[in-house]
Amino acid sequence: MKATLAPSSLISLPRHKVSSLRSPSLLLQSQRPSSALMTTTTASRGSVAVTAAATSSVEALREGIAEFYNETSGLWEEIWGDHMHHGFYDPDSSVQLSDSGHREAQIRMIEESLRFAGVTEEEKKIKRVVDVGCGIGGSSRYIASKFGAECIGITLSPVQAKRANDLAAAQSLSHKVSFQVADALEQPFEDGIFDLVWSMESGEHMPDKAKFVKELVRVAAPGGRIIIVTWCHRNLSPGEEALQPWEQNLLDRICKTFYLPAWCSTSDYVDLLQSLSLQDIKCADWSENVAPFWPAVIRTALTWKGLVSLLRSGMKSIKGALTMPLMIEGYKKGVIKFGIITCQKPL
Amino acid sequence: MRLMTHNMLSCNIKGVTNGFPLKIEAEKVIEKEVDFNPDFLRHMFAKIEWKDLVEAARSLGYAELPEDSPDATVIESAADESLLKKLHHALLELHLEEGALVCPETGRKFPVNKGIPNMLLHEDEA
Repeated sequence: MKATLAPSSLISLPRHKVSSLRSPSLLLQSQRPSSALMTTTTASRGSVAVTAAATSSVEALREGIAEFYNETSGLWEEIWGDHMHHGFYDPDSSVQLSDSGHREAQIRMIEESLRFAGVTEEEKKIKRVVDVGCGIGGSSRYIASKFGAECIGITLSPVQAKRANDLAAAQSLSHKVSFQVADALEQPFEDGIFDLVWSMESGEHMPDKAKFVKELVRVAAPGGRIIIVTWCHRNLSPGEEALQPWEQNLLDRICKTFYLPAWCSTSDYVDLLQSLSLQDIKCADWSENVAPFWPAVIRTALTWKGLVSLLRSGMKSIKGALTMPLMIEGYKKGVIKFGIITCQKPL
Repeated sequence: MRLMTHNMLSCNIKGVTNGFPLKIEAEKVIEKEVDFNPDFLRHMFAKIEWKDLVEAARSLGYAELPEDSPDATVIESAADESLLKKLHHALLELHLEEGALVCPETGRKFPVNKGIPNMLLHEDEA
């Protein structure tokens, strides 16, 4: 695990304009918003103001994400189990294909994230947890069991919500976890009700990072912890306004198949949290710890079982599979980073 | 959707200040047995909005909960589990399978299908 950035060193992180993340006209915080966003329909109102068109695009993205996971969730579960996130590995370890190593690594990712955030020492205080972008509920069920807490998960995909509830029932966890269809940018909860706000690999889907972070902070209880684990692009160097064109191009190609809006960096998240006066903000680059993951996924996909499942699962899955080498390229070339950002809401 | 979940959901349409609690329109209610776990109920008790739970339970056809919130000491004490069992039933065993959750301020209905509430807002509500 890379060293945690101590609070004093956060000041020296490369900073670029935070305002660009919050300006409505730069909703997607990208130099080329149209290429970074998968739009399957044109805005229905003819010539419109920028914000209106951007809003329709957000709707299209939201539908795209829901459909993508409706279609691919089953395949993912079949091959990789109920945790739809990276495993955490020791750097340079090789990952076995068929053993349960990947599931252990996925659970280790949850444990390492909790540990990084300093949550494990406060178990008794955790009563309510929200899992933002919960997939089929792997994290929720694990965390609810671990802390004896109530966990509520939200996802855009009705298929995932149903599957998550079914799995909870099968594991006798229905009394502790529940899942609904809701938007992370408009969480259907009152302010300050969650002791732990959990976002495991969902941040990359959020078209408005500022709004996403604001919602995470809003629903966190005073003293509650927020944990964001997400794909980012590398931090920009001082004076650097944007990624290099080839880097942007690589990300754009990934965005299309995985229904991702524009990427941001780990330090962008830190800036947002600082601007909202969160305390004990920490971040780390875990790219080395997830490096074995995509090659392992590809190897699984290339087995007979994997290929058959893939073909049965549909075009979105196939396109997704074909995009995986781009993820590997992105990590290898230092464009894509796997980041964790955690903080605590003041009392 | 169990009432434990309902006890946390609110309407976040732009401009709404009074989006909690959501009223329930029940079309199909089922009961699912859940193992009684008094420790878990005691752990969660402080977070429950009692009056809202009582009303929600009534919407689902269950009227056994006392109107007023019991004292925390009553819940904590090991002696009388009958109240805890009623709380258990209301909170965890009643399920709204089909129906809607209604915003108390705007009347907007959030559908509940196959036990899953859909809380997505429309474009103009966000």
